[in-house]
Amino acid sequence: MLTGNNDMKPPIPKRPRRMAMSPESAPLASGSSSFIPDDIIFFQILVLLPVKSLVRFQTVCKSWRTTLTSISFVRWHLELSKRTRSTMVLVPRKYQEDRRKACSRLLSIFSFQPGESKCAELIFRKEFHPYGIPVFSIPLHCDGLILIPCIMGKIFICNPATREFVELPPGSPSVLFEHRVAFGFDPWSGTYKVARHFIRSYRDTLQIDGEGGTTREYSSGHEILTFGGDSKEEAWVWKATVDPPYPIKARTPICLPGVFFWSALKSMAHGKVISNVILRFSLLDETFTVHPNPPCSDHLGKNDALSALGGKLCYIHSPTPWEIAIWLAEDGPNLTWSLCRRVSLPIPRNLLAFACASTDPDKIFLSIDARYLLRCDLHDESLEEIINMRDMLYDLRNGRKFTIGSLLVAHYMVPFVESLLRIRSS
Amino acid sequence: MATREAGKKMIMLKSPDGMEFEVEEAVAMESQTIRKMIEDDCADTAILIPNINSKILSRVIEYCNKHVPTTGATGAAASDTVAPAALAEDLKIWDAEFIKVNRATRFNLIQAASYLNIKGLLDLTSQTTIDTISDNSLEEIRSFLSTKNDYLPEEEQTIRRENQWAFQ
Repeated sequence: MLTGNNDMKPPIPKRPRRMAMSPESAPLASGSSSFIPDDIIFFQILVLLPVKSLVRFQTVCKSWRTTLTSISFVRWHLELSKRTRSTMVLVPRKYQEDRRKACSRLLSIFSFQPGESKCAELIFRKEFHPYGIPVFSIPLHCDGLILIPCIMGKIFICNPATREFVELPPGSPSVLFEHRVAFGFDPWSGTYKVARHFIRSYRDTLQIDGEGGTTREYSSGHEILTFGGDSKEEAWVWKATVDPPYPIKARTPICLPGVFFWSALKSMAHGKVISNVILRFSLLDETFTVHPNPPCSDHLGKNDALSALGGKLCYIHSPTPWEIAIWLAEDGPNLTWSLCRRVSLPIPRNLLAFACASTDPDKIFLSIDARYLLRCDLHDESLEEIINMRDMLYDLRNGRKFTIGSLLVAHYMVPFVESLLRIRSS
Repeated sequence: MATREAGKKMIMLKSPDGMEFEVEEAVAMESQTIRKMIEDDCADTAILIPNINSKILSRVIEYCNKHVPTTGATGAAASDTVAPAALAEDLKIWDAEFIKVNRATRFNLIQAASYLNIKGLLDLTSQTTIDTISDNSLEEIRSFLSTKNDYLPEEEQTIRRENQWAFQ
């Protein structure tokens, strides 16, 4: 039997099995036996199948189910998916002014091939009874799992390919309600980790410079929940880490393998942020280190965003609605920032631009205000409009198709790869 | 060891049914298994390829001949004048023709590609197999790979119910 391990390569065939051939498929020439080792059948052939076929094939026989659900098979399938089946999902979210109210009765996830089609197909839908799904910020993706971070604190994770949908247990209470969550793979333990920050309390003190401003001091905490490993001891509970050295800002963090990057508040005066820093949380030793923002800006303005590009932390600085500067950080004991590109936007951004890698290493995607998708060529800096989300045709795959038009909707665009990963082992 | 055509080293491959094939070393080295034998100096005399009959072995050699990089016997004239993209396109068309074989031959080719460790051939045969089975019924899969259903009917029903969507 194939045993679970975290090897990224298919295991070496150990137990070739003689395949009995039915008469019509028997070898044509005598003197040769025809058998294909199990490892070739599973790790070379079946591993190429999409998730839906593999879920169906678990019913072939018991040993198939054991192998098709083993960690080594699931991980190898994921590796091949990353190489050949990288795509994007769209998670539309209606605008809701009161963030304490639900934004929609349904959560819908659509798959989309940017540049190839202007149609997105429904791959997953979940109804929320009776109140609907609360307002959420941009979903996070890791290895086929999509995390939906609700602003008011609820966290959902789903695998749209296997239809698994899970709500995480509530974490420590926070006195401020704007939440953000980090989610990524920890290569050292072979597990997935979700991190959240919370504010235990805060205190305003009057400044003594005579200008009547106040400064706010926070007591802030950080905790993580681990799942997806081999160990049966996973408790499915939040575990506190050391406190972050500065209070974490409610902005979507960036997750690279083994590291989470949060933006944090370094200093304030007169009720205003003066400077931000970047906190690098290592999943290896669960410690924070403090790093400066890139030289372009001390302070993560409301039009600036953290992103990830080609495995590096990326800072998108947008000083005016018509331009963005993309800064990349070389990871290491110190983050060293360098300017990657300045891009003039063909349409003004209203709020935020996010960057993400495309399958072509020389091109990146830019999502402007979760509304326009552009592709930027890093060589000649040319920009190509992939789609204005007003024109996106959403296909519910039940005969109904619709466009959203000018309704106020954030069309969150998230890179995605199909996988067999289970969130909770059964 | 035979040497022919301006220093091109030749290797002798033998199938279990007694046929011998003389191939250029570069062609034989498309197989990582044979490459290893040559590099370890285990290839002084003819190499016996167990489990692969002469019909399949000749197809495998045909594949390696076509896929050996640069100045292979068949690709020599083309490589200087034709753009790499066009060559790759040619190879694709050639592969598609090559793999038009019955299921038994394809299984034998998978077995040969796996034993001889020829990645390109293994990928080609695997992908072709996948294209034929992804929509098959479970019964077809079981008979295709000669696997027995060892679930009790109620167990099978439970697993099906859990994953109802995949059967629609």
